[in-house]
Formats: sequence, structure tokens, C-alpha cells
Amino acid sequence: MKEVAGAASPCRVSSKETRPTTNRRGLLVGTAVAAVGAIGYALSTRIKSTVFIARGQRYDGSLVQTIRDGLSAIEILPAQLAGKRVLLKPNMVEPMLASPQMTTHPAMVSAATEVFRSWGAKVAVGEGPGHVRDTEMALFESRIQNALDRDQIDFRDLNYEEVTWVKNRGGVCPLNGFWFPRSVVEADLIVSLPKLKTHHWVGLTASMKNLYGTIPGSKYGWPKNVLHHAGIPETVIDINASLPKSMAIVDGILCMEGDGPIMGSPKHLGVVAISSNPTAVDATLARIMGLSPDRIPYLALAKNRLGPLCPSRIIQRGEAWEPLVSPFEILDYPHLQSLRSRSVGPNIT
Amino acid sequence: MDWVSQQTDRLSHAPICGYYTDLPPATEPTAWAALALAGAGRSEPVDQAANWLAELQADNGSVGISLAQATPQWPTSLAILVWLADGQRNWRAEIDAAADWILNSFARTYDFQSELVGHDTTIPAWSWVEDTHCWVEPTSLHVVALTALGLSDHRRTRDGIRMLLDRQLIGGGCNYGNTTVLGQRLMPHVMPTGYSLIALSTLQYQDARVAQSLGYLQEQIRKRPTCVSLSMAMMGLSAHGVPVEHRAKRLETALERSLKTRDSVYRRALALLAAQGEGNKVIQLMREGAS
Repeated sequence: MKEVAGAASPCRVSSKETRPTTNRRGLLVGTAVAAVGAIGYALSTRIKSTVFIARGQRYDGSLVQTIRDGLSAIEILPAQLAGKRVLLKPNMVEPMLASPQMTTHPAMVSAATEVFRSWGAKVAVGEGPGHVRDTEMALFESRIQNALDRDQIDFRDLNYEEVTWVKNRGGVCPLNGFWFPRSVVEADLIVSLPKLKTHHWVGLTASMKNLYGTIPGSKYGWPKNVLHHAGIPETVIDINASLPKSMAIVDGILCMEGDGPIMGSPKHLGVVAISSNPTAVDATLARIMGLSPDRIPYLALAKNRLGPLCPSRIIQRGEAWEPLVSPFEILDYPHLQSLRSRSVGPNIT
Repeated sequence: MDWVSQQTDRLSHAPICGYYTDLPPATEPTAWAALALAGAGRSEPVDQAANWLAELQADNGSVGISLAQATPQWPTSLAILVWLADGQRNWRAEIDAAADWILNSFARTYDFQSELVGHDTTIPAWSWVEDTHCWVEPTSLHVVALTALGLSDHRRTRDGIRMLLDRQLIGGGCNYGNTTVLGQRLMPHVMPTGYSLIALSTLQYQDARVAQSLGYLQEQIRKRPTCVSLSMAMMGLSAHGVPVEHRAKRLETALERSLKTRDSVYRRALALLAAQGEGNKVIQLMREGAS
């Protein structure tokens, strides 16, 4: 379907300014990718991905243990993260105190920080909110500032940092590359820490769409209209493909259904999902939401490019996903209703 | 020494600044700092900033977001305001080139009214990035600059005003530039509402939407918004001559809270501008241009 202010032809952000060439930094990033046991982009068509699901989770519960268990289950080991720069990327797109279902809960930020720090990683939180320029407001309204203060976590405002040009490694959208902020380029691992929500254009937003927030508003606008014009599903894929190594820890405890990603209603699910392959975890969560991953445009593009969608190629650890299926309400528009799975419950595909 | 004098002194020593103290200089924070200093009568640092902005100006008249990034060019209007404010030299050539760029820049429009979105997609206002749709803040900034240049009656300025009025939400306020999407009315935000009301402050007629948005800002100020949002809200109200109770104290508290999380000259500059009330240089330039 045609997006709002959708493009007949895409626009390009100028790439004439400072562009790095391959350098030692790039080699170090590549080494780190191997060190965290990453499944490389080129290998994703041959190897299964692992997704860990925990149920019955609470923000005031043992999230630290859950995340530790999840990382172990997907075979991320402490030694792989010692000394590494980990950037946690929560969702703070347009926070409002009265709508906790809109943004990543601060307890998730605190718990993830504790785990990564206990394994010797250097942790920072970074976000480039897409709809608000006042980042301080976003931090206060989302209550993530409370976590930053309490746990002494460094925050990186990804909307306003110096930027570096990175070639588009996905090659699906018309953009030749992306301007990423310094903190993103320098990270050894980007942890997408999204809130699980429906999305009124693309069906759902989870770990992959959350990484739109690594793109700086100072270069792309508020909202990041350049990306919309180049195609939302296409740019989701290409941003994910072009980033340093990423993984996902999804806040699926209090979610959003209905008119996501901003105006939807709260939906309690009690799930935390973790994977080193964001495609696989998003596909699994789509099924839990009662949506068919193959029909979600960005997941259909990601299939076998960035990761698997098929349950037979996803190793499930922790809980099985089938008993957790709890269909999310979605708006009554054809482009969204068509995303529904053919059946719900244990027979869902 | 009161906080306003203290912050003004501090700004004077380093007017060319970034969004945060540990980031390189950027156009927008430098421009706001210069305008705050101009309102405080500190001419030397204003001239410094004006010179720096002139170095950034491209051959097509636009000014990019920083020395390293010639695009996007949405801060071009802020550069115009600083050059107008700099009493030390004549920046006519730079101003004319920048104004020419603004007048010939058009956001992408659509000649259909979609049922998917509630706003008028046909108005040719201004975007953040070339060849994308128009949004509230860049349009506001360009309307402010064109008004300050005496171009209130120009077709482009009138289009910008029409766009900003179109984006005001029922009940008051606006956000980045959407009204309803898929039939759902969206929520207003303080910062873009402040921007839009500054731009709409020299309207020659009463518009109920403006009155409602002023009411929205007055209500929001009481809820302790963060420094940047509070500053833009106060500037929006001041531009319309609406008094603000405990202005200095509210700003001081918000700035102190903000600086505890991270030092930012940009936030200091906006707080100072807001503290200047109707004497703030942006409002003065607009009123002079419109008269």
C-alpha cells in the first residue's frame, strides 16, 4: 500500500560529505561480529536461528535472570562480550507518561545493562526519537531517564551526533547508504530493545523496525521522511543489513495493539523474547500476535536475506510460542487485515 | 549574579556551539546562541557567530546543519535571523542568497486528498530534507525568516502560514505535522506548537485555532515541561504578548534539571531566549519585518 506522503520516486540524502573508507575500525567491527558468535549476513540462508521466549514476565520481576538465561540459551557467552561496546537501543519514538505501552519500559533497560555490565561490556543507551526533537522530554516521559540516573548509564542522543556514511549493504531500497551516528558506528553490538507493538503501516514493529531509531533526525528529519519515501519495508531491511552486529531483546510484557505504534491500546502479554537474529524473533512474535510473518512486508523481504521466518528453521528455546498466541487487535483496513494468520491457536502458521 | 546574567556571560565566551558541550559545533545551536546574545546586547559574539554561519553558506545560498554536513539545509532561516541581528556588518548579499534559496525550495506535495491522512497534502510549504513532505518546524522557521525580511505578504509566506494553521489540532496544539492518520486524531506536542505560534504571531486577523493553541501552551507550561519544550512554549506565548507567570523561575528550574543530565549550550541558549520575553530578538525581528 502507498505510504503517507509516499514516494513516486525516492529522494536521496546527499552523500557528498565525509565518507570513510575501510579502515581499522571496520576490521575491528568485523572481528567483534565473529567474537559474539554472530551468524553473518551471507550465511543466514543456511543456518537456523535461535529464539528464546520467557513467559509470565513482570517489570518488577527477575528480568536480569530472564535476560541472562536468554543470552545463554542463544549461546551468547560472557567471554564474547568482555570489553565490548554495547549500545542498547530502546524505543522512545514519541513518549507520553500516560501511555507506557508506547515505549520500552525502563526496567528492561536497567536489567539489560546489569547483565551486559556483569559480563564486562561497556554499556550505553542510545536513541534518536523519530517524532520528537526534545530528547530530554522523551527521556522523562518514557521514564528511561530514571533508569539512566539510577544505574549511571551513559545516554547517546543519536539524533544530533556527528555522522558517518555507511554503504547500503542490503541493496533493497534506492538509497546508496546511510548516515549513522558515531555511537552506532563505534558499537561492537547494537541491542535492539523494542516495545512490541502493532504498526498501522507495516503491521508490527519489533526489533527490526525499532532500528529506525539509529538513523539521525538531523540528517533525515522528524519524522524520518527520507526513509518513508524510499519505502518503509525496504529501508527496515537495509538499515538492519548495514548496521554493525545487532541482536534483539524484546519488551513484550506490556505491549500495544490497535492503532500502533503511537495511538494504540495497552495489551498485556508478559513475554520477553531474545535472539541474535532480529528477523527470527520478529517472525516468532508476529505469530504470537496472530499475524502471518510471510505477509508482513518487511519480514517477507528479510526472509532468507537476513534470517528465517519458517518455524522449522527457528530453534525455540525457553517457552514454545504456540501456547502464547494471543491475537492483537489491528485496525480494520485491508492492508492490515490481510496480515492476519489463517488460523489462530496451535494451528497457526 | 542571577542565572540569566551568568548564562549570558558563559554563552558569550563560546557562541559557536553544538547541541551538547561534547559535540562539535552545529548551525542550529550556534544560531540560537547568537540570537540570545543579540537580545542581551552582546554584539561581538553575535558577529563571531554570523561570520561562522557565512562560512557554511553554500553557493546556492543555503546553510547546512554543520561545517561537515552541507545538507539538509533547514537551518538556512536561522542563519538569516543571525545576519539580521548582527549590527556590526552588512550581510545583505548572504541574506539575499539565503532568502532566494528558501523562496525557491518546495516540499513535496500531493494533488490528492487521501482518506488516510487528515491534513492538506497540497500546500507547498517546507520540509526537513529536500524532496520530502512539509513539516511544522522547518516551515515555522522559514515563515519567521521571511516575515523578518518584510515578506509577510509573499505567496510563499502565506502558504507557510496556511500550512501551519492547517496542522493545528482540534482542541489546540500541533505536533511534527500530522493531524489525523487512518482516522485517528494524533496528540499535540509542546515544542512544535511553540514553533508554529512564533511563526503565526504576526497574523493580521484572529484565528480560533491560534487562540486554542495558545491555551494549550498555557496549560502545558504548568505541567513542568523539559527545558527545550518549555523555552519554545514561552517564546510562542511571548510572541503573542501572552504573559507568563514566574517565567524566570520556571526556566531556571528547567535548565538546572536539564544540565544535571547533560551539559548543553543549545538548551542554555533557548532558555535565555525564552527569559527575554517579548524583548527576544526573534520576536523583535519578526515585528519589525511585519510592520
